[in-house]
Amino acid sequence: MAAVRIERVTKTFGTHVAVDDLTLTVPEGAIYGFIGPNGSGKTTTLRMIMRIFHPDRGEIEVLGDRSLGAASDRVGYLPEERGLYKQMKVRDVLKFYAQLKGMRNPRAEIDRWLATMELSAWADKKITALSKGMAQKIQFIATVVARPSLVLLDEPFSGLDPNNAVVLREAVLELKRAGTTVIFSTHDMSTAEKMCDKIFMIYKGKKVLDGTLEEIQDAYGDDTLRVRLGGEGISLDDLPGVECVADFGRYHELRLGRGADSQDVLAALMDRGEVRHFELSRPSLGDIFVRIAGPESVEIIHA
Amino acid sequence: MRKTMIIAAREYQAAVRTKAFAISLLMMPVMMFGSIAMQIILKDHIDVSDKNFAVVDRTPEAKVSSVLVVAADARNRTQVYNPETKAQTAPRFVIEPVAPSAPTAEAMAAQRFALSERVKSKEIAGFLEIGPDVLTTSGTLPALDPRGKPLKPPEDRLAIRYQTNASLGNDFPQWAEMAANAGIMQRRAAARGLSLIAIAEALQPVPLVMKKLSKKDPATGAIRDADDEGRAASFLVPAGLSILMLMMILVGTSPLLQSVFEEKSARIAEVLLGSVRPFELMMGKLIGTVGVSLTTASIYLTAAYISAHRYGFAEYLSPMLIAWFVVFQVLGVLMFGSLYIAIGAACSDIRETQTLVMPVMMLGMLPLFALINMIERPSGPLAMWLSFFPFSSPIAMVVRHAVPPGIPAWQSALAITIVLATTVACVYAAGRIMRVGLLMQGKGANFVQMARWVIRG
Repeated sequence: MAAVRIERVTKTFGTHVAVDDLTLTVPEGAIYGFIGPNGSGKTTTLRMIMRIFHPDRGEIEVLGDRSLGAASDRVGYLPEERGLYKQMKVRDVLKFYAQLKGMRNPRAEIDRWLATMELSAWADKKITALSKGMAQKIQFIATVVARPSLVLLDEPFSGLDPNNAVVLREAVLELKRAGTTVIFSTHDMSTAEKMCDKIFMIYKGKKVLDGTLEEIQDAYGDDTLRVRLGGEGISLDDLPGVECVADFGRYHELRLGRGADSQDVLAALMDRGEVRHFELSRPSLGDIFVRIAGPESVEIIHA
Repeated sequence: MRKTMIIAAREYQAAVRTKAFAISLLMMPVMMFGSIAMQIILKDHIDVSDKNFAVVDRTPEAKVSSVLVVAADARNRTQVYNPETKAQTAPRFVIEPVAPSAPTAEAMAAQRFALSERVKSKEIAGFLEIGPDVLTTSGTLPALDPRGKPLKPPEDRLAIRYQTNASLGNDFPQWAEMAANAGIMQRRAAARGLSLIAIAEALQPVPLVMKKLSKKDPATGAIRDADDEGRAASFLVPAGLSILMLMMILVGTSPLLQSVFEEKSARIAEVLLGSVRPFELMMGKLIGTVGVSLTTASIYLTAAYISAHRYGFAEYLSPMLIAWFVVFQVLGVLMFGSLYIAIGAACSDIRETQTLVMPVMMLGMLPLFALINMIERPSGPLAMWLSFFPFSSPIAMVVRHAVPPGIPAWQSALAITIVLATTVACVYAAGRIMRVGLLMQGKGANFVQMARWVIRG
C-alpha cells in the first residue's frame, strides 16, 4: 500500500501556480527525498499532505485515508520553520505534542528519545535555555514521539553541525528500520543520494524527477568525465564532444554531449598535457539538479 | 474535542502557572483597597498653613465683611482642630477687609487686577467682593430654580464675587457663601422686624429617609423594620461588577492576542496545524482563556460574596446576580477572545496588532462611559440599548441586574440571544481568519482583507 498517493494535484496562490498537476506515489517504509530549488513547491506539497493546505484540484490519500481527521494522528510533521514554546520545559513540550497525537502515556517514549538524542540532562530545562541545535533535535523528537507511521521532515538537517547531523541521520534510519515511511526535503544532494530509497524533484511546481538514484542516473547515462591534469594552464576549450566543463579546483568535471566518445576526449587531453586521473561516470544528483534548475551564470562553463 | 481540551489545558496552565498571574490576582485588590487606604491615611495630611483672603465689601458701612471677620475667628477657634487629638486638621482663614475702590467700572477693574496680582504673588489665596445691593430685598433678588440656584448669572451688585487661581481643593468659597449669607439674612430680617430664628424654624425642611423593603423573619414570622438604604452599596456593587467584568473580558482575553501572535511569529503554528485543525486550535485557546477568566472571577466573587454577608449587604450581591455575571462573562470572553485571536493571526507586526486592538477595546469600554446613567436609570433607553448592543451587553446587563428591581425577563433573554449569536459569528469569522492568517508572513492584514478572508475562506 502507498503511504502517500497524490493524483493530479494543483495548488495556486493568487496567480502563482505553486504545484502544477502533480502525481506522486510514496511507498510504505521508504525514505523518500524531496529536492528542488527554493520556491519550487516542496513545502506546499508537504503542507498539502498534512492538510494544512487544501489542493485546488486533484486528490491526496495519506495512509489510505482521503479525509482530514483519521490519518493526522499517524503522521508526524517537522516544518521548515521551527518553533517551540520558549517558556515551557522540554518534557512538557514533548508531552503536549505527544498528547496532541493521541498518546496517553508518552513519558517512556519521551525518555527514550531524549536519550537517543543525548538530551536527557535537559529534560527539565526550559526551551529558552537550549542551543539552536538542541531545540532542533527537540522539535524532531516532538515530530516522532507519538510513533507515527509517516513522517514528513522539511529540511531536517539544515543548521545542524556535523555531529548533530549524524545523530539525526541515525534517528531517521532507525525510523525506517521500524517500518516508518519518511519523506524529507533537502538541499543537501549528498544526503539525499546516501539516504533516500527514492528521490522526487519538483521544479516550478512540476515533477521533473521521480525514481531511485540509479534510475535517475541511468536516464542520463555515463556522460560525465572527472579529470585531474598534471600541469597548470592546460586549456580545456574545444574538446571533442564536450558540452561544458565545471572547475572544482582539484579536478574538472566534463559533460559529454550525445554520441560523444570519451576516448576521443582522453586522446585530446593527452595531446595537451599530463592526465593524472580520468574517470567516466554517471552524473551526481547535484549535477543533475544543476542541469535542471541551475541558472547558467552559476556554472563555471568553459566549453 | 480531545485535542481542543489538550490545547485548552496548555493555555490554562501557561497562564495560571506564571508569576504574572499571581501578581495580577493580588494587584487588583491591593490597588483598589490601597488607593482607598491611601486616601484615608492622607486625608489628615493637608496643608494647614493660614490662608489669607481679602474682602472688598461694597455694602453700606461694610457690614458683611465684619460678619465674615467674626465668623472666621469663630471657625478658627472651634473647627480647624480635632477635638480629641487637638491636632490642626484644616487651615485657618484670615480675613483682610480691603476698602472698596470708587464704584466706577474702571476703578473696580483696577482694584480687581491689583488684588489678582496679590493672589499671583501668593500674598493672599483669593478675594471676595460683596455687591453693594446684597442687603436689599425689594424685588431685586435674582430668580432661582427649584434647587435654589440662580436661573441666570446675577449682576455683580447683587452677588458675592470670588476670584482665585486655585478653585479646587479649597473649601473657603462654600464657607464664605454660608457665613456671609447668614449675616446678610440676619440683616434683611432685622430690617423687616422679623426674627431670623423664627423664620429658620418655619423653613426647616423635613428630611426624607431612604429605607429598604420591609421583611418578615422566616423563623418567627415577625415583620422586621426596614433597614436603611445603603446608598454606597447600591452604587458600588454594580460599579464594581462592571469593572470586574471589563477586566475579565478585555484584560483577561488580551493574552490571547499575544499567544496567537507568538505562535505565528515563532512558527509554532505550523507545528500545531500538523496535529489540529485551526478551529480546534482556536476553540482550545478560547476554552483555556474562559477557564483562566472563571478562576480569577471565582476568587474575587467568592471574596466579595463572603464580605457582603459579613458586612450586611448580601442582598446586593445575590447568587442570581453572580450567575448572571458568570453567564455574560463566559459569552464576553468568547466574543472578545475570538476577536483578539483573529487580530493576532492576521498581523505580522506587534504595532499592527495595537492599531487593530484599539477599536475592539473601545467597543468593550463603551458601557463604562454610561455607567452612572445606567445605575441611576437601569430601565432607561440608554441602558436598554447598550444591553442589546452585543459588545456592550455583558457589562450593561450585569449593571442592570445589579440595580433593584432588576430587568424584565424578555430583555435578559433577548440580550443573551444577541450576545450568543454575535459570539458564534465572531468565533466562526475568527476561525476562518486564523486559518488563512496564521501561516501568512510578511505584511499583515487590515479589516477589509480580514473580511475578505471570512467571506472567501
